[in-house]
Amino acid sequence: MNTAARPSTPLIPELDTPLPRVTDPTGLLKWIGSVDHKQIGIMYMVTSFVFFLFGGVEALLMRLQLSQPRFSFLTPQDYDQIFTMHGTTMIFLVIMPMLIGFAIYFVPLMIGANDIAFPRFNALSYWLFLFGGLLLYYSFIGGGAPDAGWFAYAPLSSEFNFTANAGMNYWGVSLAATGIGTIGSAVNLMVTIWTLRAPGMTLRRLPLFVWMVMLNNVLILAALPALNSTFVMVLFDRLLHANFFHVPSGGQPLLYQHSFWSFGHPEVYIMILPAWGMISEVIPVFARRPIFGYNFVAGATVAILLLSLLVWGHHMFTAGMGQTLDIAFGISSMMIAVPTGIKVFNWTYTTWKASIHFTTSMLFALAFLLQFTIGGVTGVMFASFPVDWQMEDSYFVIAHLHYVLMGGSAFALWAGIYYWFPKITGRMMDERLGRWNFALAFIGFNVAFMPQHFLGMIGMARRIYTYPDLPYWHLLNLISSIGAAVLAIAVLVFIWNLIYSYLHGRVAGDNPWDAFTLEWATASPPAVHSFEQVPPVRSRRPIWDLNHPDRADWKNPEAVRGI
Amino acid sequence: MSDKHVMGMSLFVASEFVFFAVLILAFVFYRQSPANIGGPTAFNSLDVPTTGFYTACLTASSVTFWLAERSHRRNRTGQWHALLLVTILLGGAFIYGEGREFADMSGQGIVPSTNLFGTTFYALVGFHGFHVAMGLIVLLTVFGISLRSRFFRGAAHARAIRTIAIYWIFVDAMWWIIFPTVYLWSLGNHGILGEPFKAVPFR
Amino acid sequence: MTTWRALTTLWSWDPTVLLGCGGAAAWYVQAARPLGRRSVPFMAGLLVLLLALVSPLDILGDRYLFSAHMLQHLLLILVVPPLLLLGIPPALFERLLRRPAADRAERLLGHPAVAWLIGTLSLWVWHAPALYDAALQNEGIHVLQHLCFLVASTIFWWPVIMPLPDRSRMNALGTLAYLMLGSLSNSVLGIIETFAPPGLYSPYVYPLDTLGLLPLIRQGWNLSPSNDQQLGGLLMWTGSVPVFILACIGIIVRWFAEPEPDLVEARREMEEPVDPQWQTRTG
Repeated sequence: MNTAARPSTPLIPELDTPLPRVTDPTGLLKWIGSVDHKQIGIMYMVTSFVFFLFGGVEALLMRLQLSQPRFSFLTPQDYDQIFTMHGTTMIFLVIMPMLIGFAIYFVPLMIGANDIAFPRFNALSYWLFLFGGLLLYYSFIGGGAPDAGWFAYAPLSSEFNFTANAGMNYWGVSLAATGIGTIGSAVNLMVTIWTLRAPGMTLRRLPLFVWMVMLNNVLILAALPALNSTFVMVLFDRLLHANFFHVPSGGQPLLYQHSFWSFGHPEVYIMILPAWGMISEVIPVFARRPIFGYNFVAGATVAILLLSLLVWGHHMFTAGMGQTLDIAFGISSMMIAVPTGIKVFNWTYTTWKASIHFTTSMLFALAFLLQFTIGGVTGVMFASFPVDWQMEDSYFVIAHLHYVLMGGSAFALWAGIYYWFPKITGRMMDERLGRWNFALAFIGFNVAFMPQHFLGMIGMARRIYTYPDLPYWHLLNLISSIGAAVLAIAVLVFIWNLIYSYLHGRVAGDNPWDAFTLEWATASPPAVHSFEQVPPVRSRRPIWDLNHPDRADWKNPEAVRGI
Repeated sequence: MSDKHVMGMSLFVASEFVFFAVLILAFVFYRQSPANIGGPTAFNSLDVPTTGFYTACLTASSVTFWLAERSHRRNRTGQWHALLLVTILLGGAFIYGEGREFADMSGQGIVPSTNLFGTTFYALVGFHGFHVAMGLIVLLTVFGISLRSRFFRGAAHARAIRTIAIYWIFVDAMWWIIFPTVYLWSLGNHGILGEPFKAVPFR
Repeated sequence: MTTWRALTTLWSWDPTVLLGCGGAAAWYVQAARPLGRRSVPFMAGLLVLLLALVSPLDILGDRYLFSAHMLQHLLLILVVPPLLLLGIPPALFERLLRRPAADRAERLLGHPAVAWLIGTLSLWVWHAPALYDAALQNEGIHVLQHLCFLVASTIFWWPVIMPLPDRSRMNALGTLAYLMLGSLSNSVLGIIETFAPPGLYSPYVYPLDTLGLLPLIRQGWNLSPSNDQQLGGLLMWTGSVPVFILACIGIIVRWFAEPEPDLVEARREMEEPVDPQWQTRTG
């Protein structure tokens, strides 16, 4: 049957005012002055990756310090700064910007748009991120890094003379800057998704990555301003000697916790939603079938959106909020596990009796399923506040958060990078190096963090710079540190793979994976003008439909039927 | 709301509501603290009528800006410039009034470090003033550009004006939440939600 | 007085309530003929309304427990109106809205911003201590309060349930935003009540114990005025969330079930029929 004769859909709407152009920019100037969403996306990814290396070095320093009891490789003050910077870096300068970078690069492509809604604003968001991050790291030589933990409880963080140095000032100001950039990105992406979709790309046909990014934007707009308010209060206390959390004047530290975690809980969902989106793209492609239960994945995410704004108190069970509040937050925290479980089920069932192609990307995605589920299970354990009272601020929490953020988001990012590297660079990543990367990462990660569950249960607290020689503490810490070292080697292999593949990788072509969504209709890498014409969009898998017209989704009433 | 600029500004403005909500909640929460007794409070430190006058200026500036936008849409350049100028003057009056209020209060020794009232008052009202000042800078910029070139005079730029209007009206609407909470509520010396101001033991 | 005795004897069979609910049921049976699946939500809604107003919740809420009163109000605001709206056949609405006055009222009150504000403001205004306490002390004001809740909430839920799709002014995402903002507003009010010092609503601090229930409530159920106020606040804060989530899920289900017009036509234009053996899950 000849569907090729069907005319393509008309050109998508252009930007209505042409952007000013620097005449023939080349080299670095081209990047500095860029307002092209693809270049800015790449800048986000590269910058976040560099910060990831900083954060990783900080982690290795910590693991080295903890590899033996009573080790004095780092002083307590150094250790405070290192764990604060590790957490702050990984959360604000690595995971969030990396996910946003992918969104900025791929959301316009996946909806058939030629650019993001506000290109210059997009560039501003990136530069705010970069300079915020640089300011934060400048603190090391500018008076001392922040040292009150990444969530910086008051009054330790807010009393100007409780911390050893002025690092918390840097923390507040630099994160406020990056936060404003993030809010800008959220506005930009939201308007892009709402106004620049190709004809036929209805909201119900959005790729799940785009759907998740869309809901993520709502979370960012709801949560980041609360963080900025918190910074205002902390900086007022520190710099103007105000009384927000100054107990002798009636200030209440618990207000800080409520205020911070009102941001902090949606924040963890901000860090995972786009990762879920990536997994939702990768698994169907390499299982060679559409995702099972698109509607349920989409709907469950909406439920998570609402619930995530209402569970912040589960970070405060040990703060003494009172039984009534404990009950409320415990119940809502248990409720929020349900939609996540629905999603895991859908991803898993997509692979049921499928012909799976075990590419590196798929390996990382499958590891994500396992590891994120483990992290989720330990998370639900925390929803039971008697368990929380025992485990809070122990290594059990550290294990949990790393299983969801590293075993979850980071592995999803790895899956996404291996999946989309051919599109961004035009070259395939080396599969052999990729398998080494995966094996080392999987083994390293689990060896590093599984023992931490047990360390938490036998009583090791978090944020301690050393520990006494109690039974098994040394052994488990040493195992964990070895795992961290293996993980570091995995990252080195990954870097080598990136460089090697960029220089010598096999040329990829437009759609090396025979994938389904619109970004695979562009060249690899996409031209400056990504789409000359957008393929017709009649289902959730427009490129599948284009390449397999005899089995196109839109022809099968079953394939895109609603619930 | 299909226009992307209006949509973008509306989303940003919605997020700013959250920012102010946290500061407002802090103000309301600390308002009933017994640590305030004996020191400056909203009841004994605020000059409500004067601030009410400047509030009227800010509200009027929203009206004049709305009228200015209408003139702009109808291509009445003279009216557009005049009303924009009035808007700027009224907004500037508000900033002036607030600045004077801050100066008077700090002259009396009420600063952010004084007590809970000082802290929460300056944070909330101060950041609102900051938002007004940012808006004022934008308005001045628009005024300057519009005087010197055709940009901002043609009807094609109505969208940009509309976007700025959303911000300016948001700033005004925010004040209409802050002003009653901080100033009007202080009339009558009532504690949170109505009871007489008394020492409440913390739970 | 034991819990069992309290639950079985404290029913207030108010004749007006009984007549009202019975009358509504009778009206429905004759107006919505033939009775289909819609009668289930409608009758369920009436049942909840009846229970809210005649069960021990009413007496406990009126005189002793803020939390009981809160639960009663939540049922009136979040459960009864959506069920009733779901249960009334769209044809009846169409007939009603053919009258010009009703049509004008719907155009004004049915606008999402207006409906949201009416629903939210009626909740917040009636929770101001002065008004809330007045309702507890004066039966007339109390009836007014309940009527306000029912009417304002019906207006609030109208754009969400929207039995007449032609009059819909919000798309699915807009409706989701509407619901989420409503849920957040409920939660903020609940948070304020939970964290407010006890005695926010003074009649509940030292209730007049004409029924001898106070020992049971204070000792048996461990509900001091402080616990009671927190529990009430929590019911509004967290307890209202499942309703909004169910509503969001319902909106999504309805949205995803809509047919896709461009495909209907495209499939009609296809030259070859679809292979009946073809499974969805191929690759």
